[in-house]
Amino acid sequence: MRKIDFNLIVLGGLVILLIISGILCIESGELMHAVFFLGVLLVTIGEIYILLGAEFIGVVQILVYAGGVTVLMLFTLLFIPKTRERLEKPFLRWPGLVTILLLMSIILMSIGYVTEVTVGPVISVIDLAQSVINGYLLLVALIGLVVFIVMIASAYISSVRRE
Amino acid sequence: MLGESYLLIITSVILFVLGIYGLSTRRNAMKMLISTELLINAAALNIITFFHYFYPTVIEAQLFVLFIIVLAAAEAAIGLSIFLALYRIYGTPDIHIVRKLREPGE
Repeated sequence: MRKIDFNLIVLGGLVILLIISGILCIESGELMHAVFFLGVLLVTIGEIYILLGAEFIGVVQILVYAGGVTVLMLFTLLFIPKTRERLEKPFLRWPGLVTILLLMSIILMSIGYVTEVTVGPVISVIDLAQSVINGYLLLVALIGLVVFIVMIASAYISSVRRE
Repeated sequence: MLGESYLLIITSVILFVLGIYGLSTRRNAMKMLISTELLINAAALNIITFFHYFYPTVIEAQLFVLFIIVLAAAEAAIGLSIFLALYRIYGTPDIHIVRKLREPGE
């Protein structure tokens, strides 16, 4: 009797949830629902990261993305009035769909060259921190600077009013 | 093991394609921002999957994904402030009105 791979079953369930929430967050007409489904998608991706052995990245994904960005989007939506324009209509739906299906088939054909996988030790958070300190400290400082500039710029752009 | 890697790579491709589809067929600025987030997450999922199954000892993949997450959060903050400014100036989140580079009343 063939052994059941529970890891594959859990991964399959998460993937199905991921694809359904991705389709819903693109296709739902109400923006509030789209942001909700985006939150579901981000949490699911974080769980997949945790299953793949990247626990720290998964936790950061859930805290920063699903916790921060989604709530930021929800608060932005609360600022704008609920008019008919919040329900948007798509345009060029069928040409876009055909182009995307062609692109997807080309990418999927290229995956057929993958033949074998290797398995190694799980990378711990300590290894990650040591790697940051040893080789990428300047890059982390640069990204902190970028985030600081983004904070000032977003505050400035938000204060722009119509003359 | 190979099946799991196939599953995750195909999922990230589907997410990427969904992001491109949303970016090319939507006119609402918020929907375009959500599609951009989908694209970024598909790329990050692809990086993590490839390095987990094919180069498991390389630590840089998780670092790069960490940087991607931080920069994507910054991008979302800028995008949302642009969305607010757009709505305040033009009164609509429709990108096509902004593309005309003029005031809506003129």
